[in-house]
Amino acid sequence: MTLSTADQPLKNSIVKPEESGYKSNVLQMFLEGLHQNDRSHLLDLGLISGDNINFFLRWVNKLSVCDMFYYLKRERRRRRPTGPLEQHFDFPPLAFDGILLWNLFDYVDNQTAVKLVQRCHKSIKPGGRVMVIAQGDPIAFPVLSTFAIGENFRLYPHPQPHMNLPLQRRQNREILTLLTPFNFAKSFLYRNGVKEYLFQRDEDSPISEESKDRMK
Amino acid sequence: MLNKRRGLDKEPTFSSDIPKEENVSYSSSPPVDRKTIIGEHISIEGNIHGKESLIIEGAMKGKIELEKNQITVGTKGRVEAEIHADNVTISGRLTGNIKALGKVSITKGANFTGEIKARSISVEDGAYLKAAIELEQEPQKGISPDVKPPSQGVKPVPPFEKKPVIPGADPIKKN
Repeated sequence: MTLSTADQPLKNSIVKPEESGYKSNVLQMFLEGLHQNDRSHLLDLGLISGDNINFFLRWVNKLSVCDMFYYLKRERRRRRPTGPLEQHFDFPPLAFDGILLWNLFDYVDNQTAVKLVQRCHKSIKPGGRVMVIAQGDPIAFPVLSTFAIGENFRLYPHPQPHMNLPLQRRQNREILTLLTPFNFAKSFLYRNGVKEYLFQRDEDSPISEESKDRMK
Repeated sequence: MLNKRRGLDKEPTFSSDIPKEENVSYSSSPPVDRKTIIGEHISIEGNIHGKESLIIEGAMKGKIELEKNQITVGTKGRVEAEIHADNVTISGRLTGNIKALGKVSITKGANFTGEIKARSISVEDGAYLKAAIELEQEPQKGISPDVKPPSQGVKPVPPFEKKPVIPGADPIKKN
């Protein structure tokens, strides 16, 4: 079923996150795509989970992890800036075949989000894929959640209330605009309010001026 | 005092605040589950080679090669080093690269930055990690007890078609 607008209200979206396990179509596509490459390198920018690390290492040859939420939390705890978030994204150009952005865009401002997208675009190889999850529904997901990966690509959100990060909800259209440097491939909206997107970098490289304008 | 206990012909070890109950090494004789402790108030810069396990609670900078033994960076350990060991456990702060023949374990509260090559890895929630991880001798890449492996010999996935983003035209599909 295709929805007509990005802002269409969700029915039955109030669910307990721990009971809202769902099959992630995008995760399956994302990992099966990476699996085609014998030397695939995945970057996970989400909260650290040992189980997920081991899961991903069954699908890719090399996994890099950089917990961006650690820096967000640290900055919030100190109540003073610790420097721009994107400075921690200091990976070399063309390093990754895939980048996983669990729900980072739910917790960063526009300026930071744009810079993160630019860094991702620079660090991903041509043809590389970006998976984005947004849990923008503040009723179903009042706090940041991690995702445990279960059988058959089912994701089980686990609330992390101790993170205490302010939600910066983004509409579907805003996320698509934000990711304009990449080619849009797929997106899914689930009953629990989770939105998933799959993007891919062009075989050619730089961010066009048109894309930069649209991202502003 | 220590010289009397271990003999003048023995290699020195680095130790401080040694608990009595620990089986701590004072010699270079063939080790049987022996371990050396670098205490909290000890700082070392240089290379360490050996054949017994090492616990670091102090500061260490350099290179550590204990190919058949365990290295533990304790909760108070601050280490900047290239590490080559059998098993590595990190509970403190470690910056550097690890090559482990066995397992790397990163516990809650640990802070690790660097690269890891190991046979297996375990990471507790609450650990900070900025790392590139490679597991050697993956027995069955892509095969998980929970997830069916992708079919073998599948064709490469073609690049996605570029689609313009049109405001109001929502591509989202409901599951």
